[in-house]
Amino acid sequence: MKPLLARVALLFAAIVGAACGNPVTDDAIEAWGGELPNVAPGEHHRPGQPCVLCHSIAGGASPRLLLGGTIFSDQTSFLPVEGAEVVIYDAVGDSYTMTSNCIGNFYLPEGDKTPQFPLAAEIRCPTYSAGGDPLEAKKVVSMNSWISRDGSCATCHSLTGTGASSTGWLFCNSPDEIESNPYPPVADSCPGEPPQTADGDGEGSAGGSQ
Amino acid sequence: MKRATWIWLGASLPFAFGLVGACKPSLAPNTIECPPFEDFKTVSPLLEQRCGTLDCHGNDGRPLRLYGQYGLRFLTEDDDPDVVYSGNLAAPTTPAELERNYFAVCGLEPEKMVMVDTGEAGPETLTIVRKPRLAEKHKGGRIWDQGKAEDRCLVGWITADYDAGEMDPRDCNEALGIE
Repeated sequence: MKPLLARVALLFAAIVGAACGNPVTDDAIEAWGGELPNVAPGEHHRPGQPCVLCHSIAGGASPRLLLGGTIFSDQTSFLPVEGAEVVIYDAVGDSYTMTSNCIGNFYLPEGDKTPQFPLAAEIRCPTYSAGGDPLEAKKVVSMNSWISRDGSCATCHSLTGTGASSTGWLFCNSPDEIESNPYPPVADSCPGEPPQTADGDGEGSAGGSQ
Repeated sequence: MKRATWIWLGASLPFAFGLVGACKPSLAPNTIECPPFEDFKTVSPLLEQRCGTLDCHGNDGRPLRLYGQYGLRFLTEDDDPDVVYSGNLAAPTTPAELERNYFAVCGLEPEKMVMVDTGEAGPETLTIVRKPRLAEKHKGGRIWDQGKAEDRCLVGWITADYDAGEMDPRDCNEALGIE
């Protein structure tokens, strides 16, 4: 190919590529800002943020995720819950189970099967004795409405807490269970960091949603 | 100024005022014929539950914007945010939200809604009837089938073959699992 023709073709390809971006998605992603300096991109990054926003065809991040979210201790705290099982039941009778990691993140990567919307969801939260010892029993929390089409839990269960368009972040403990079912702090070995509020104390203030 | 100029100005002014008057927007409220509001309270819970989640029509960016217990909330000056925004879907749909849902449904295709309401067209003319049946492209997929209780509930209200306030709630109750 002649050099001039090659340059024109490259320019054309660049213009077409740029034009294929989704400005709404791009703006939404940009609004979340960059990565935390001490957390590498991976399964422990960005807890509480809408995973599928980036990990989708439109978002462009890899791997592509079908579902994803973060579980916190209670509606006044961004303390992550590790080991919570999130069970999804889809419209054709299949179920999918994800388990939250040490920063509370859980996700379902693209695979052989794709959950068919609408979805029903429940969280099987781990339980502890008041002294902090892990117990066998799980506490089951069911979602009261269904998921119609968005794989990012945080789109509706946002870190801003309850409001007109958010039912608050996902949590396991109601207020009267915080002392009887205390979740351990994030392990030092965990490569993630919980979300921070404006005052930087990691304490939520606006409420969450079971 | 010459006399001809005054005549020209005198002739032009009424025309100019006429033009300005023609451009003035009408402040009369827009009203359309729509099935009875009194009976919409029977239908709205179905739409709230099946269509109004936050990731679908419970979104303030959607033309068919639905408020309610299962999704987007609408706060009036009289409402307590701690109650309406209590989370866990605990606070029931408010009268103001019901009213806004009615406006959303009736105003989605107002001209067609009038035609259906007056019997000039069938309910399948309306996109709100076709989309949940997937008779028209719908990102949320098929929500219910034609002839099922959910469909009968919505279409029954739209066709309004009853006196206002007298709609038979059985189809809507069946669709919502209410005994």
